[in-house]
Amino acid sequence: MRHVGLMSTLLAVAICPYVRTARADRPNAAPAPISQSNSSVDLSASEVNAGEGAGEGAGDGAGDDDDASDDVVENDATDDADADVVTGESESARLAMRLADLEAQLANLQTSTAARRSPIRFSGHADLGFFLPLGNGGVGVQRDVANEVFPEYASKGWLFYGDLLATQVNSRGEVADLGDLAGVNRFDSVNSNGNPSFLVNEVNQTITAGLSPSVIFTASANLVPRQGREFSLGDWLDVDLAQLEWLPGKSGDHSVFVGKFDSLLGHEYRTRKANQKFGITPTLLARYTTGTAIGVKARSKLLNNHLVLAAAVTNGSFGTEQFHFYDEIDSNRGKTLSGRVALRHELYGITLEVAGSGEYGTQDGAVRGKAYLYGVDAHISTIRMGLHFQWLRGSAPGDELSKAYRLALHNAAYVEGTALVTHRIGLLLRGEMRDAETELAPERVYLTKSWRAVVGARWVINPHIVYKIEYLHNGEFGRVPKFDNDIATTSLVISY
Amino acid sequence: MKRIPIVVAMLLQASLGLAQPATQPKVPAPALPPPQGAPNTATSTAPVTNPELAAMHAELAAQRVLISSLIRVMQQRLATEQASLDALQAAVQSRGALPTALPPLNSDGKSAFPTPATPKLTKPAQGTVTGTVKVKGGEVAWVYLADTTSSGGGRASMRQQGKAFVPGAIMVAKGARVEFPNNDPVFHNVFSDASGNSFDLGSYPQGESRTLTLTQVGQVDVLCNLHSFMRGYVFVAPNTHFVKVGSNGKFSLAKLPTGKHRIGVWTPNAEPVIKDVRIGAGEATAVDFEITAGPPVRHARKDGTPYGSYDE
Repeated sequence: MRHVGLMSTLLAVAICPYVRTARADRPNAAPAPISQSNSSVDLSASEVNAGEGAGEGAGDGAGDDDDASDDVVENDATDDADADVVTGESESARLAMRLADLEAQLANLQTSTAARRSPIRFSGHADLGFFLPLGNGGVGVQRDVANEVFPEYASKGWLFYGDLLATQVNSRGEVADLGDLAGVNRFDSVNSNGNPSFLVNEVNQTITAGLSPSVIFTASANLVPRQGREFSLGDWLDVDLAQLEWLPGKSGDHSVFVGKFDSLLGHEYRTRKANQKFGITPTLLARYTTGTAIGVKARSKLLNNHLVLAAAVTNGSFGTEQFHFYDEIDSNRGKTLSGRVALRHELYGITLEVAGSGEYGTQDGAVRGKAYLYGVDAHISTIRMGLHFQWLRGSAPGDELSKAYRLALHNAAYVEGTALVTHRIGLLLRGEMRDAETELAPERVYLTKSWRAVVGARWVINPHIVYKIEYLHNGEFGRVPKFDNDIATTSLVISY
Repeated sequence: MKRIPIVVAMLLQASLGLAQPATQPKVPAPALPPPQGAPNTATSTAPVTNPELAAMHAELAAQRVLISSLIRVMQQRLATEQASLDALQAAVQSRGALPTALPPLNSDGKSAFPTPATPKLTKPAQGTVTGTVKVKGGEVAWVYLADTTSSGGGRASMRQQGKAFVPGAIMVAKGARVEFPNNDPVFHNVFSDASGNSFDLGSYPQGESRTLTLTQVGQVDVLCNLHSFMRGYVFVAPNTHFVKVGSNGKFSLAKLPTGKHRIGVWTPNAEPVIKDVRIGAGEATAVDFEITAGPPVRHARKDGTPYGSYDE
């Protein structure tokens, strides 16, 4: 509008010289040609008005002039002429109408776009890896032949020392090789025989459906391509989440989960998947705390998020390892109760969290006997750095009849520090240990007194592609003989 | 009614070199009907002997109508654009380059051709609104002129820092360009589903920035698709007349146009409170407000799916 107004002013200014020129030239000046161009209109306007002025002095009077003006205004042809030539006002009005029309169209478009937004979101990731076992054929244990190291276990069939799940190569916790241990015929999902190998760790597909603003269904399936052998199909499908989450109230601080959902022990379960994890491999105690279980869970953030409570009733524990501490479908009447109490506080951009958590229930895979786990965890985090600690202890009685292993988890702990050097480069350091005895009486015992140092780095290529690398140094303490079973592994995580 | 043909005839005669005393009245007008589409602006009383003259008469009459209309339009424009002309005049005067008034249209003072209105060079009358704002459930508030719309534009910035929007709330004028730089060492994806101001700036890392223009008056909830707890507020005011309320609850909104106006106050998560005030020239009008902010409403991701309780 400002421009139009200025144009009008300039137009008026432009007319004036013509008026004066025409008057000065009169009566000898020839009439200007009449055309539809703006300049000609301006000129002819001068002439017309000049002529009118000349005649006015000889006319009938002012009243007649008014009549003439009235006729002009009321005449239909005048309106047509307005539309044809007087473009300023009509153009302005047309633009105003056009603008209003476009704004209305925009509003309608936004409304329809919002209405068309699907409540279903498909996301997922692919985790492509490469690993290099460094020693012992990629196997995390060695056999104590003839009970040379631990004669006190002479009554057991076989004693293995080390940690069968120490040579992890990916976020799933799969190891480079399980080894060909006496007395068992296990499905060795990677089975690298100590050789470096590329590996498609997993391909994940997640569906999130907002059934209402407060009800969300989430399903997550991992496709794990592995080589079948001995007529067994290697590839498998792992549905690790199938949960319905209800968030009652407007705050979203309370939630109830039904189905197969995430753990509530410790903190590591929140970053158990490749696209969530800062590094590549899980900790040595993640096998007890990062699984998913079937049941009902409730969680509340109270006191302005300073207190977080969670509790669950599930078929079994939140484990992942296959020593029958973890069984998705319950084979006994007892359920597992679990809970976590966390205190959180944020100060100067630093978030502090201290929590205690545990579970108690009938051991998975066993007909009778109670298993329990308990521990504490603490976290200090800023936007650039994170420091995480967890300690865990537990026990499971085992069951000879149902071939369920006994567990004596004396201590397991880790301290992990992460730092973002830049927004693309991150570093990870982790120290951890596990002191445990796992036994399937009377035939075999796994004696673990292990520690591990992990150093890793990540490169965020873009929000959808992250490349990670880790080196795991596995060590032993106590009377357990030392042996080489380090792992170097990389992971390219493509998420969408 | 009879005068126009006479005038036109005189004009044409003068143009064609047919000398006629200007004071001689009653020149016979052409009797021919005007051409198709020509305005019927006159009633002929004398026979027309020259068809060319009649045609030119009609055309000139039509042109006169058009020019009259054009003049009306220009007059209206000049009146409505007074403020713009003032600004232009001030700018011109400051440079000392152009005349301070428009040239006259005619020198005889009797012409029906209206002289465009000379822009008023006086400064528009202005007033001030002062008072206090009591904010319940909120910390910051702005006071703004609610009944005048203009694309004030301007620039503003709301950065992402410490996984938060800093500052957490700003007020900008309609048409302002708002910049969203990412100062965090993580990616952010700033978006909003505010009606009329919805946008999605996509994911971008530290050191990068995105800018957008907000055109719809009202509150814009600024969110991050990657961090559900991040939330900022931009209020798009209808013009540049707004001021942030001080920490003591007092405000002074100056240089307002005089007359009856609507003054509003806004705080995040609250419907603006509007009051009618009469602003006098050179006066300070006192008005107090009380506004209550509600709790933040839970929001969804940019694709419409809700966040779960573990999403942070």
